[in-house]
Amino acid sequence: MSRRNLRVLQAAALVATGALALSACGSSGGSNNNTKPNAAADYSYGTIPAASSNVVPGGTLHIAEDIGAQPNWIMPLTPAANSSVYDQYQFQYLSWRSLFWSPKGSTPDWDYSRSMTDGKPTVSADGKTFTIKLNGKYTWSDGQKVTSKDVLFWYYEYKAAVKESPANMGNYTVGQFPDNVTAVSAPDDQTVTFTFNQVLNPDWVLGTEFSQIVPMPAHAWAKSSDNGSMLDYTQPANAKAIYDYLSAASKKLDTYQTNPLWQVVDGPYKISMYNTSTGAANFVANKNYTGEGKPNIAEIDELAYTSPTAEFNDLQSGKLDFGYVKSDNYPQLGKLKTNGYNVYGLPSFGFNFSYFNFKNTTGGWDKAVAQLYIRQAFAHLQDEDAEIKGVFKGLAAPAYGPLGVAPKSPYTPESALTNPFPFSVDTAKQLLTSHGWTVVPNGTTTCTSPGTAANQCGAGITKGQNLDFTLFYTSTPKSVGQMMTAFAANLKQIGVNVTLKTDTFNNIVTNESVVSTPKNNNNWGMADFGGFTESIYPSTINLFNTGGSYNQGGFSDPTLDKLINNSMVSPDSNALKNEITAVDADLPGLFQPNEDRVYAWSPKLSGSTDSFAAATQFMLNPEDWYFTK
Amino acid sequence: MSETNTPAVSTETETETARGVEDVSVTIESPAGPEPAVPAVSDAGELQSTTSAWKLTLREFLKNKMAVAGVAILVFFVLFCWLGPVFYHSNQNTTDLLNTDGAPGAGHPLGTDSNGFDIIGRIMIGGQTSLWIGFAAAVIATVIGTLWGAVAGLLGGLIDATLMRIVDILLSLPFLLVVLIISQRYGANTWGLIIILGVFSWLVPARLIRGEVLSLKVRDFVSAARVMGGTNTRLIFRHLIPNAMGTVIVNITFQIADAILALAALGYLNFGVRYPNTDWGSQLGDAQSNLSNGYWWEVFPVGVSLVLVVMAFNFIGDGLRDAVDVRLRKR
Repeated sequence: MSRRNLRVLQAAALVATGALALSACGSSGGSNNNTKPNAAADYSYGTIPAASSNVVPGGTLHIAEDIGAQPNWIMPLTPAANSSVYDQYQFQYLSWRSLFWSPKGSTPDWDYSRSMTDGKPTVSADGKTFTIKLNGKYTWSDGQKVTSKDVLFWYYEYKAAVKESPANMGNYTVGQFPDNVTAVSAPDDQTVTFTFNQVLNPDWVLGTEFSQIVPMPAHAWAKSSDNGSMLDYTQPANAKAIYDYLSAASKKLDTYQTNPLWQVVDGPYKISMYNTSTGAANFVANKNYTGEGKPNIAEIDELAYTSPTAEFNDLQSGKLDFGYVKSDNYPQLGKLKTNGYNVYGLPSFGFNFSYFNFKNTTGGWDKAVAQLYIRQAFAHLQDEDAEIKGVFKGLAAPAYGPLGVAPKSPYTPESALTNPFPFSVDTAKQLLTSHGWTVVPNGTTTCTSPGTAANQCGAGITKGQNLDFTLFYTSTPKSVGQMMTAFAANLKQIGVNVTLKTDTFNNIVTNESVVSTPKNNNNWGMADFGGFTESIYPSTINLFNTGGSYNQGGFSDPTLDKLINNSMVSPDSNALKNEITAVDADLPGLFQPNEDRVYAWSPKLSGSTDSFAAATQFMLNPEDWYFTK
Repeated sequence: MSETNTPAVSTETETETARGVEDVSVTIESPAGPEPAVPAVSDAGELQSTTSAWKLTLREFLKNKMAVAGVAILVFFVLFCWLGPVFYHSNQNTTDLLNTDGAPGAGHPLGTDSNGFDIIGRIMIGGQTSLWIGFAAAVIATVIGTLWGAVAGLLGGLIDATLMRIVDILLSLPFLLVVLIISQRYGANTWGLIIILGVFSWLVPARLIRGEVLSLKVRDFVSAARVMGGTNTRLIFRHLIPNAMGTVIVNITFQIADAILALAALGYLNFGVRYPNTDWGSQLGDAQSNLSNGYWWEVFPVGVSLVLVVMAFNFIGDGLRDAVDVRLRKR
């Protein structure tokens, strides 16, 4: 499975490229109940035991779905509104595998043992044509081989989807993949070539473009009705009809378990039950799975929860074999260990942030947040050190941009290791007063010197305008509410009054997005649903470039657009560092600490250490798991 | 009511007074005719000629120890919530993330919550919100319910049937679900919650007042008012509602308790008011994890406050009901 930008409730710091010695991850966290957990120097928590050799085939594995993020889209071409790690990594990818797989355990690197290829694509001399060789390792559950035609089928359906609407694919940016592809071909069953309209950085192509490819069964899905004949999907009209058919089927949640389309899989499990009320889902082992690992466990039940504590209680009672532990329950980590549960946590490869809405014209909010000094003032009101200590009980790494402090990525610029906007109410106040605002602590700050001079409020900001706004944040986990309340309290000290509103992860992802729901643009000023995972080549394309499919706040900066574009075409790794440095300074949102993703699992559940480590990166590899005696 | 052994008490007048008839005094009269020889001092003591109905009610109310305890508890919490912050200073505006979930100790006698706010100060301002929303929502519900019930009861016929079927339909809707949906869209602030809770809580008062009006409207004084040309509006506002006021007042105390509990449920489910305000339900919202995490101070003090206040309103309501209903008075 490949990594790319996907939404998460909480994300964490980048894991350094390079081996992470799991057995040496120091761990701590007390064995007594209700003790304060302690993170190791690399911000990990707990240990992963070695795999047991006492394999007991069969059984039912009970795992937890994340709260408010229940999967609701099954086809591996996922619209932006439905796109999240919970839907794709932890639901779709049990059944359909991606062409290039990452991470390698918790390390952000390509894992060719799980991929459908044995190495990176080869690049032609002119730098425009990329050739992918399939390794023939994967087979569809109906016995047919996964071939290059299945890759092309995915590509043509992707084209049809984004032609219909850019919002039909989460990682789509106009002018880029697949718009930048001038030719595709399948010279044989195991070879695919893509020719681009310009020379591109191969790491960018792999990390941002090819990482999205999830081969789909052309022999079973290339039709436009249940009993229709197979169509030539390379014809745009046919591709559209097929996409419409598959998309409509994916919207019918109540047919997930009965629709024969979803039973043709190349992954280790296929869906057997979906609860439309709760989003809970069951999967059964694909007996014809030929990829890496072996689905020893007969059934996987993904259980839905409405609160972290309810899920934690099920972990404690043994009802769950594998589940997460949110910061709400960190003080009780010791109880799980007392029960013999294994506990391990690590910041994930991504970032958390609250983002500005640059399209909200109510009260001139768009004009206000367009001013960098105002975003800087807001950034000075976020106290990361206090958040790590008070909210995450120490289990989080600082992050001042899309690449956090730890673990350090090869692309992390030095400037990203120190906080450019340390917490200071006075500095925030100074930034406003020096730009023509009259700050009234605990009152309402207003612009009293409109204009575009250096000491005036800025373009479009009117006299008497205030900075009050509405902030939506996800109701779980509790940590987001704590951070947002603290932020609102700090803003109040400079006379900015925030109306706090909560909603579920899925609702915020859909509703508080200028991409998905532009009709709501004037309803919110900032929002926080969590954050994003990052690509192995962690460009912020799609996230912060003008028109990016995940650019939920509508941020636009021509200079940053150029830098993002440069990361795409330049082979120089400094290009990406320059892009990250610019994002840190530009503040399209306020970056937050990267919390450890802490997981706990039953002492009767075992498997490779990599497969459990991968869970901290939102990946599920139950084909590597089994129950023990 | 004073006891007397004179047989000349007008029982009709007494019954009406107990129901709150517009004549707010009980007149104990001697029978017409020649004055009998009256001893200087009555065997039953000095005869009082007139006693205010409200005094009678108050006297009865004060005899009810639970009701008095309810008043005392309520007065305590009103003073605690509104006067408390004058004497007990805590910062309820600025969070303190470096001191979250602090156990009781110096500086914070009842500890701090997950935002670092002092618990005692939090209960004070949470109590202000809960009591204010409870009271205001109850007033709104009672006003709507009283008018609705009075109109239905007085007009009768098709209008009565229509109005009461509307009440029946609304009663069949799950209250909490409706309020949750509306509050998700429009709530999360004090006035929003007051209106939501008030507008969805008037159904029971409407039924009660309708029943009261049905019995009142056939009384002579209502007939007399009607014969003299009194309009329906005048009948409702001058005769029926004033005479049903006992029921209204008793009901409002229960309405307040119900509204506070409903607000607590909303807050617990994360639909209550948000920073900078708070309410007791919102403070209880993290009770599950807080209790298992061992942070009892974030649960029990506010929980006990909520229970005591709701209990106090119920005691007061019970006491008032006994006091205004002559049939329930101790003799």
